[in-house]
Amino acid sequence: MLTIMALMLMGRLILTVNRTTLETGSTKDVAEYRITATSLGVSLLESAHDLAFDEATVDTFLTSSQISSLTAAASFGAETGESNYALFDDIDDYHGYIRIDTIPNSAIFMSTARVEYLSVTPPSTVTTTTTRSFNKLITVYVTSPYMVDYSTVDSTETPVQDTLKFQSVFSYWYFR
Amino acid sequence: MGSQTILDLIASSLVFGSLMLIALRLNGGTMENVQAFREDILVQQNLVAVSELLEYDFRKIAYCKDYTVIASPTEAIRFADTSKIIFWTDFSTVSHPYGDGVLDSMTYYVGPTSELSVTPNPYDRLLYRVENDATPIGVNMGVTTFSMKYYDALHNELSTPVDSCQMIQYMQITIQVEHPVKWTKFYNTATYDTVYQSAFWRQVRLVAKNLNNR
Repeated sequence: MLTIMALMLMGRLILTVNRTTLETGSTKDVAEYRITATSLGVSLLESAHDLAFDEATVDTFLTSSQISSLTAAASFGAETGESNYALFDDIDDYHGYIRIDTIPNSAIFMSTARVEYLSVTPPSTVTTTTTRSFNKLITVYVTSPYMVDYSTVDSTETPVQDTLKFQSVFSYWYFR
Repeated sequence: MGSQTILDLIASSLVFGSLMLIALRLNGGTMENVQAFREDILVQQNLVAVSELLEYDFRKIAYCKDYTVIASPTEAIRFADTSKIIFWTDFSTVSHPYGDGVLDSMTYYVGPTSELSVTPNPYDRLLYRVENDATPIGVNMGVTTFSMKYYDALHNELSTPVDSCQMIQYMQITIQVEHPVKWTKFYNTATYDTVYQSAFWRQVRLVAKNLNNR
């Protein structure tokens, strides 16, 4: 009887150690994927930084009274002919943009972007809105099937896929 | 002492011996794993340190507190090659947190692999970050790949070394950091060769944001 109990205890110990080892390894791998995902998210923000604020400001400038010339929020997204990101010319072209990156020795990542207008009420109230304004918020989500957050489970006790979120605000101004 | 007792003693000794062997193997495996994870974290920390430094410095390409000093930000990059870049910037100091308004030169490059021939990893190199005409001092962060690609405003890749640096609009920086020592725990699943623990970082950066406020 004592021998059986000893074997059970040993089995339990081995299983616990194995589980801890696997969890630590998984955490380490996910940390590595997060570093790569961060570089991809920031890359997308950097690319957006190079673009004009709006389609209406690509070749000209607007004054505050011409705010109605800005693209309506419902029309955000790539314009006709802008079939890939190299052809984008303003920030809201990234709305709905999806990119898949396969990184060597790493994982497959999916980046998506969303662009919204921002309503700014001094001193510190900032909310997203569909009303045209001279402030835009771009949100980039980067995820990967390999980035799994084992500390969070859904209703079916399945660990949820982790998603990194990056945001940047673009404001329009013109020097006369 | 009866024969049954002797049999019990032999059996219990065998069970104890088996358990002891399992415990020792378990302990050895756990120690190996812990050490391997610790080394891998070290590689990741090195990569994060290098990328943070690059992000900070490269964000300030063409920056100067006195904006009139750089006549055209497009001329901020002085030399651009796959593994070396020289650009104008303005260093911040304790007394001048936003720079002193005087142009500074920053140089990044990696040395040859022969400089780190003392490490078992044949691919690691010293990374050099040189401020103005200071004596170059390399740091061993396990960098095995430090590669840069340059693109013009239309996202066309420019051939290196770039002849007309003013055409550079974007750059893609790729860094790979490896551990100086191989661990038998890590191997290529295709070839079953052991490999160096590595971490990878690739980022596209805009060279001079202030050019593009429209």
